[in-house]
Amino acid sequence: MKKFFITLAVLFFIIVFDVLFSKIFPFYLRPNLWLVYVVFISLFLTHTEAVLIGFISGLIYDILHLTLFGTNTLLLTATGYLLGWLNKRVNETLLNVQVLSILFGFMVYNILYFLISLLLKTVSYNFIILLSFFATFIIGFLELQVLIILYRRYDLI
Amino acid sequence: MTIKEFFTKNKPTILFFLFVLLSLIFLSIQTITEQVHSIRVFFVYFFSVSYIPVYKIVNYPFNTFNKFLQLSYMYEENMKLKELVKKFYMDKMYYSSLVEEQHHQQLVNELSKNIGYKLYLAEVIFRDCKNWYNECVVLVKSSSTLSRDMPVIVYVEPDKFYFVGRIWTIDKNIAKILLITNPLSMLPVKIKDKPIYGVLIGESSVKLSMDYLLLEDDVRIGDVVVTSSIGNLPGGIEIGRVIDVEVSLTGFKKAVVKLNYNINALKNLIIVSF
Repeated sequence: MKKFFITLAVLFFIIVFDVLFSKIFPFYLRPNLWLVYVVFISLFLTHTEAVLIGFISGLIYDILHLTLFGTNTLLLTATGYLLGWLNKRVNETLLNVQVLSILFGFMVYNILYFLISLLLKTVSYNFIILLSFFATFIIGFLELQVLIILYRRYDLI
Repeated sequence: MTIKEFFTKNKPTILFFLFVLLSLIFLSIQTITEQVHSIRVFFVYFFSVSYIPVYKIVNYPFNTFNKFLQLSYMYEENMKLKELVKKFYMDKMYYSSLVEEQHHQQLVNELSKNIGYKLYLAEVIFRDCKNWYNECVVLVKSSSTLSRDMPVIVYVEPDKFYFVGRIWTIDKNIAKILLITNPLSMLPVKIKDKPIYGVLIGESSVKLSMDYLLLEDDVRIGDVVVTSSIGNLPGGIEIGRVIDVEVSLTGFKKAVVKLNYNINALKNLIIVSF
């Protein structure tokens, strides 16, 4: 139950910051906070939760940013599923693992996005979105640390 | 392996396929867009309160930097504007003075027609503070023939004329006026509506003395003193009012006359020519 409310609170704050960042940054510089949250769940919680959170995050992302509905749901679910395989297989407490996980998550997300854009003509991929890596990496890393502290404080990890 | 065990073991994969399927359904059904848009609008509206402080924080360094960059341009522009304002101010002053001069000229022309004398507009350009009540220098606008002892009057709207003095010296179109308050000025005057004559002598103040009045002359306080038509002066131009009467050592009556106009505020004068 505690985990449920914490997750709800985290989702709420990510929505707030995502809306704010979407107003401040252009789309190609906006950090993908949802992706980082999925990476965190994949590393620190369970594989199932990674898929579930990936799906929910994608759904909210699609609602907030009015992309082609379902694109990010598919992408984040897939990213959560793929990164979920790392669960219990790597030492998630190491900083370099966390950094590489974000990098890996970003790569997976964009590769899948590109592949989907090839498969579905309604989805278009713009390579300029790769510029958001810097923001995602810097702000995402901070977000990851905050999430770790929060979840540790409530003995959820 | 039972079905339950299979589901338990492959729960992430099953969930993944389920969610992927759902995502594909979302992707294929686009009719949901309007509802999704409404939800999004709600979220944006809900969180819009937090935009303003964030905008301020984010924009502050950019604005400051831009202001810093624009500082030199602003300074340059400011200097240009200052010059422009100065020029416009001078133009406005010049224009105002022209309008005023035109107005006075028109007035003088009208008065000239009504009275029957030739009148010339003159502007006071200098008054020495040491000889404030003795003399002043005027510039005559029209190219008129000036001569000494021409009377100088001041017009006070709507229909009052007061005697100010006479031309003392002339240099082209600049003339020095001997003011009526100068001790050197001795002007034959009379009491208005009474056959009482005397000489008005200046005392370098707003009070003058009307001397050489006969003892039997009925001079009273409040009597108006006007120019007499003796000499080359037009008669009947108002000067002042009697405020006191006394007998002088010479055996004549002497009246103290106070000017009826403000001699300190002389600006536009009129020179009367016969």
